[in-house]
Amino acid sequence: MKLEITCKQATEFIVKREEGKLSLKNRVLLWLHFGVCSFCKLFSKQSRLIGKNAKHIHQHLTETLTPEEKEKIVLSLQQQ
Amino acid sequence: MAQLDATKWVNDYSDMLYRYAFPRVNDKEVAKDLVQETFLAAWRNHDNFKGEISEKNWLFTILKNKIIDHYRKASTRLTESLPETSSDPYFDEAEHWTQEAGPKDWGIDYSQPVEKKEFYDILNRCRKKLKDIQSAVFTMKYLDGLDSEEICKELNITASNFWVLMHRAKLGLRACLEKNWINK
Repeated sequence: MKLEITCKQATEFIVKREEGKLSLKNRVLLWLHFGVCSFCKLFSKQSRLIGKNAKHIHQHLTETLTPEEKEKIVLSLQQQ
Repeated sequence: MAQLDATKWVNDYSDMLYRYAFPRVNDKEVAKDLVQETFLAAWRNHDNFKGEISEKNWLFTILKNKIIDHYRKASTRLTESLPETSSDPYFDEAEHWTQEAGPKDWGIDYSQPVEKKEFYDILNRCRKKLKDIQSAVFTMKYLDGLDSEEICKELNITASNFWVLMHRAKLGLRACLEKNWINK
């Protein structure tokens, strides 16, 4: 069995692993790759961070529609 | 049927709907259009509204369908937007990170949630740079919490398409955040 994977494969594995969709064999290969590749180890942490924080995007959103935009919608309804 | 009050409807629900739509389509104009279309569809079909769910939930159901339609339009263009494998900005010929593209340590605690609003502003700007379909799978996965099977079904794409798109989305967002948030 070939034990070495490329960084491109490793990053694909990382993305699948985040959803629990990586086989045991590939999890072992990824773990071996992490032993020799600090880039992929960082990618793994950063990719997870992005996914975990993305769900908070809406909490940092304060925008609303302007009164004019609301009025436009009201008018379009009244014209029906 | 009781006379519907358009002003009250819009005042009660438009901001709520807009705040739901905007991060999902990541475009203000598109989000406003979808909110308007949602009200119009609800208004026209109000006779069919059975009152089994609240008016608010009914409006959200209509909006969610409109957002899915918006994503589907992106997925019909999928074949054109699959990345070219010949020019890869991240990996060299041996498929290892190039020195330039290799991830740098951000010097933060990766296990802690990021509280800075700036991070989210930049993340949103970075999402805009993704192909529409990459952005759609990312949004459905991380904002709506759907799993890959559900997303493939909604967008009518294969599992292997999904993984290519998600892989590219993550590579793109990571690189863009590093460039604009960490190294600014």
